[in-house]
Amino acid sequence: MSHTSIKSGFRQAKMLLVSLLAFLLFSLSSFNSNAQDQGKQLFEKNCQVCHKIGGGKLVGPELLGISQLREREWLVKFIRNSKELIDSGDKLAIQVYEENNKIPMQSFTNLSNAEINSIIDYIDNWQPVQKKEFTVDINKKDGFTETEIRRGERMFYGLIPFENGGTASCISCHYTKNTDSLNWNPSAHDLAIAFVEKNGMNIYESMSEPSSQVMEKAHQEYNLTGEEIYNISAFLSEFSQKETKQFKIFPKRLMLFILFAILMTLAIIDLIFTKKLKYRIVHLIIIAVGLAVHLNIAMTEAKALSRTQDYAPDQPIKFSHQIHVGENQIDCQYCHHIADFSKSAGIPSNDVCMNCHNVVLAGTNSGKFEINKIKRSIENGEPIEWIRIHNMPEHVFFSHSQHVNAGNIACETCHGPVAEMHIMKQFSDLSMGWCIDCHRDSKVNFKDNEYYSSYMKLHEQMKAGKFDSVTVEQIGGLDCMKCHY
Amino acid sequence: MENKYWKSLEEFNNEPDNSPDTDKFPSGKNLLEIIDEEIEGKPSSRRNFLKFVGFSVATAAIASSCENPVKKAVPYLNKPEEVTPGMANHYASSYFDGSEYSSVVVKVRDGRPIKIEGNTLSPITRGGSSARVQASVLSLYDNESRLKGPSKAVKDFAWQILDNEITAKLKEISGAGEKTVILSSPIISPSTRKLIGEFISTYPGTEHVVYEPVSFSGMLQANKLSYGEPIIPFYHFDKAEVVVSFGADFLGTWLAPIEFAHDYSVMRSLTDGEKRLSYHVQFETGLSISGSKADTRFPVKPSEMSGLLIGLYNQLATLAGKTAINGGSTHEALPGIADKLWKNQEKSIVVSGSNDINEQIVVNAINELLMNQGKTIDYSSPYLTKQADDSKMEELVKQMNSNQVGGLILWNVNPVYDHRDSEAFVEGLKKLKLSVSLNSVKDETLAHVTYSAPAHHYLESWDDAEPIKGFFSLAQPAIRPIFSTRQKQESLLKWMGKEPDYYAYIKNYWLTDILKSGEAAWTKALQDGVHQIENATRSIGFNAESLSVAVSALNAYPAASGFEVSLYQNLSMGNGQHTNNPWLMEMPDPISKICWDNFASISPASAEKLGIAKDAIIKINDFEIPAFVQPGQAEGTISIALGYGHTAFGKVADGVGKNAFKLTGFSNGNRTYSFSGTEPALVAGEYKLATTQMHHSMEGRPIVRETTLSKYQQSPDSGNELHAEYEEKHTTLYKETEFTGHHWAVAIDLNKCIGCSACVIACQAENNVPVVGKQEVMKSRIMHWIRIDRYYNGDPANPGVVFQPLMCQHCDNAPCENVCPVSATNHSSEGLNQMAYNRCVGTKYCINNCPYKVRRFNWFKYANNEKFDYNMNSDLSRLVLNPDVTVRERGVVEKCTFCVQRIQEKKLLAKNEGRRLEDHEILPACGQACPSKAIVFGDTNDPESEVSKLIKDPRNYHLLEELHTLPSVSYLTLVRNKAEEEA
Repeated sequence: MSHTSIKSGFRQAKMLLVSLLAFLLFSLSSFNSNAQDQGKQLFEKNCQVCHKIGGGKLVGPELLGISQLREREWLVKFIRNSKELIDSGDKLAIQVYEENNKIPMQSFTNLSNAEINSIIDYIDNWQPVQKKEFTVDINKKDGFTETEIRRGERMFYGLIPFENGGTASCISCHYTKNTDSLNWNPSAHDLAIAFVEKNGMNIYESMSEPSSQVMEKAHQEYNLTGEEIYNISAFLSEFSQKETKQFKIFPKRLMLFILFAILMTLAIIDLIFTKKLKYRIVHLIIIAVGLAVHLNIAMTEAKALSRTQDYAPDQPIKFSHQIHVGENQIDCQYCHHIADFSKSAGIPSNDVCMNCHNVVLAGTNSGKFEINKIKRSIENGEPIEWIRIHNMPEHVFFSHSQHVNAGNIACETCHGPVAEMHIMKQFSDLSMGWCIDCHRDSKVNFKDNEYYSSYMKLHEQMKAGKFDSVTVEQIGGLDCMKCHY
Repeated sequence: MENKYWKSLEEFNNEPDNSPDTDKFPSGKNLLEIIDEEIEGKPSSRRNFLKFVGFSVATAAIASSCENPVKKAVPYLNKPEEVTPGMANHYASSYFDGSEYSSVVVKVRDGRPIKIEGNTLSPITRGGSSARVQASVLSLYDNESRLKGPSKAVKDFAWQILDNEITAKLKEISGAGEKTVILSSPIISPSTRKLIGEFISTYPGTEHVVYEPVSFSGMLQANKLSYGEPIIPFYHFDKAEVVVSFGADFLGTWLAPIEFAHDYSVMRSLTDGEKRLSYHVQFETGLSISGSKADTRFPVKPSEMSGLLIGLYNQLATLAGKTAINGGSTHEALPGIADKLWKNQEKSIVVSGSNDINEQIVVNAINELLMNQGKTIDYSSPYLTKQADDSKMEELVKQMNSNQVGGLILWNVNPVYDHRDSEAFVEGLKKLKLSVSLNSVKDETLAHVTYSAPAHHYLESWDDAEPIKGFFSLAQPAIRPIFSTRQKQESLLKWMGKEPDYYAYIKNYWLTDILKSGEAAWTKALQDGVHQIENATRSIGFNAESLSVAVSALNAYPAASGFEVSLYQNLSMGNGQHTNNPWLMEMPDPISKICWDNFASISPASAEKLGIAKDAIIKINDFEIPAFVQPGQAEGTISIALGYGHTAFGKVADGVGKNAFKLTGFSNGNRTYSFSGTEPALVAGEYKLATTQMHHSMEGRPIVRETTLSKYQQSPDSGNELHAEYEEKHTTLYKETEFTGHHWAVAIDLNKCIGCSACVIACQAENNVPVVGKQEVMKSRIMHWIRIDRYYNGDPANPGVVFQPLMCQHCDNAPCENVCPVSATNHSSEGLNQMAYNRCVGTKYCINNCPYKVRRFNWFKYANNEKFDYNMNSDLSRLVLNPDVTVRERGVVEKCTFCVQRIQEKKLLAKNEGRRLEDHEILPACGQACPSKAIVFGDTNDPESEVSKLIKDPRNYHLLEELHTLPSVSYLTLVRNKAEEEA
């Protein structure tokens, strides 16, 4: 015991020195030595899913002061392979195993002794986060003066440089307009809402103590003063009241349409009145091409009327199917589990998200910000309002159960390569022709499903060798009242 | 068939029916002239046309560049385990409105009830329901008439203060030795009865008075005199070979029509080779649906009933060798009826709809002579749904006016509307220290009471019921309370100073007093909705003395003179508490085919005598009402339906019809619903009634096929000879369609259909059928997908009546399909005549070409339209819409789909479970609701299905089969148990 305490005391002294140096050199608040850094990273990667430091029991026991409770040598053994230790009959190990509902701890044979020690060191030296003190009122969320708001706005837009440096402005990552979700950073509006709403985030805390590695990395070079944060929060609170604008791209086709309309008008005027061009063939060509372009545009537009293929709206949470389905191989029906028996596939409710996100607290791309939205939604009692992508007209009845369960059709057949989509989009055009084509070709599980035994005439014809499989069309898949009633 | 059928007196007399025409075209002009007038003086229509073309092209261009609206998909925060978006849950519950009981299953979709179905597990109602039960789901969403929260003197109030003030007043009244009266409709909830008992012991001096607008008080008291107990027995119509009814419309409104319709139809069924049929005689004033089904019907005046009863008693007494009693009619039919009854002792039922003690005692004596007690009439399982003692209510009004009552709690009653002397009641209310209404909707009484503590709708409440002794059922909430209302029982608990948790109370009561078992039994009872305890069979002795007293009283009644007025309940409105329900309001009365009004029915001969023509208004004493010439109405009588003429009940009910409760009287300790000695006078002016009787006429072709029992016994296809002939002649040049999978069909047994119209409302609820209003009905634009056609035959003074439900016939060779220019209607591979609304352009060719007149055109946009302010014009009331059925747009044709959404649902279920569909697994809304199981749906490609068997029945025929339309709907001939010469 005494040995360890002396050792830790020494380490603390060393740390203090290092940090003092760092403070002087960089005027940054980083305390971390390299070894500590490694320990922290390893802890976050391997341990914090099941353990907390200073926060009570999670899946595994509380770890604060663990090295005072157990010997380090035993700890290293236990961490590396607890099962081996239990099997060898180690009484302490068995006791720990039984105290924790007989849930065995995962083995970490991939970690070196030094690495495990660095984790234990990190736990030993862990200290509760020191909240930065600010002179300004941190809970104030509205009632800012015009000057404060304008000053914050200019800082946000990068017109006033920050006192402690930082090269880029806020707006270079946090857009003030909604854009595609591929910008993983929260938009300015998202941030504003997050800070302003009930149970929202604390802007001071999140600026001084980045909650995730992604954010820490992105904000490395910023160290805003209290007043700066205050002004920015003033701006954001005003900004949260504003509606965000969508980026609108002026449709190319419309420009083309107008251009040819003008050209054609000019051609007609010249042809009849001004007669400046000698060769009438030029007029005719212009008019012919113009008409062709107009017709083409009209046809494409008419076909696409109220169809929304490739519709990929911005969702309230930057949820990526690529990460969930592609990288993490989650089955579609884990989240959309009612697709099997209901007409609707179902948008998962927050509790389904929390099954995993109870432990998965930070995302690779967006850090904690997006995942926190789920939690905040639960705390505020306000469900997430997703934007519906696949919209059927009201006179169309579509049943997922019919297709997924009875028809045994893979989700990808209609929804496309979801596993590759960061932003979910409507893959098929959902036109009636598209439905009908599939109904013409798709085969029915005619022999194995007992239900179809009542189609006796078809069975007879099949036996007689008229066809060897039955399509959806043959059992009435093209009837109007299959989908319209 | 030589029988001539007719739908209206105009048709019978061969007069042109000009009612719809007058609304369409001013007389003497043809359509072109009218159009010319319309466009006269307006700018040239050709230019307008071009303008519109240009405009619509431009609109289309702009619309095409518009963005699609953004729609949201909002999931649950925490999905309840039992709720699955897109799938319905079904909860067993109980319906009891104070007069009618039904065990029901509530279909709940995404947390909102959308349909009521009969509960097949119930040994009482057996899956049947009535129009009012079916329509009750709509009143849940009555945005306007339901009370939104507590009030004091019609001003919004807070529950907390209301409770404090009422409790204080109750204590004060009880402390001063005065009494509080709970004035309620019949309470069949055993736990509530216990609760009221506890309330009485908390506030000593409290009294419980039961009040019914249409009461059975006379019958209860008669049975008390005859048998010593004021109870109403159960009638086993399924064991009765002979039924004689004196003014009791037991299939429509009397006592328990849902049960009786089922039992009655058992004895009227001729399928499965059955050759016997019960014999039904009806004496009645106005034509009722029971009278329509009767084998022999006698139109009689209300005052003649007592004479007929005594006459029948005397005939039977002679047969039994007992002494006859004084008086009695010598009606020519009585010996024959007595003979039939005597041959069917222990297998007959005699009932009377009268509220007169003495008449009911004679009925008891007749049934005793026939030894029906314990066989067809069961006193061991009595009905508990009728409890009112009229004299107690009269006494209460007197006490209220003489300051003998301190407080009054109104429980589901509306005496200001339906008491015979509502002024006296209002005066009495003013003298009270405390008046509280627990009613859940606004009504005429509300303005006169101090406090309103509105109760939940029954679909939001916990409740239990014991409609028949030993037959229990539970009601559970199917939705969270929509408004700030509170369960009636919880209000009582609160005022007793107890924990207002009625769920705990009811559960505790059931566990200890009914189930006497654990949690599992409770869960099962809740899931089934019903629970039965065996009653010990017992017979009770008849007090013969009561008869002689009754007979001498009856003989002493003053002789009737002049016209007689009879007040009755019709099928849609009942006693008037559902009048604000637009579905019921627009349900055509099965006999008169009139909706949106009540009227004075008068017989053709009397009408001629008084000079009453169409659209006339008459005056009975001070009571003005439109007259309607009704075939079958007894000579010298007038029948008026109760339940109309509300003044503060909601936008649908107010001002529609006349309140006939004002005409009710009180004598012999009971309310009377008929009176004599009046001379109706014609009043100047005219009033148009909305009738659907000549809508969709099939122009006198042989549509109804009818025969008599004896002919049927000789040859089962009697009356249906044409069927075989047409079947033989059916040839076609075209290739006949082959149905490789299912081939859906419906068979309707005309013997079983009683015309109750439950199917009409069930269809309306299931298929989002709009309500169009009186004006549109008058233009023949009613939208019902299933209608009950009513045909008369024979003498207009007492015609035979036939009901025929008619929906789309789903012809396999459909005339509508090949005239559609856009192929919006065509045939499915399962024999359905499909209608694709999104393809329909509204040419109406199909309507014109349909020989059955079952297609309906959407003349207007009925949803979200201020002009049709019924149930599709507010966000709340639209919650009742079935999400699986499209709400049709203006300008498209619609019609019955055979409930294709139900077919598809069950097919998918079978596919997912990998099994064949069972017969009766798919039930269309009409077939499900039918209390007599007259409508049978099934797959004709399955030879074992019931419908396949019914189609092979010799009674089976198709409508207009000579047209070779090959309908999928077929009918079974009507067989009446009539003597040969009468047919």
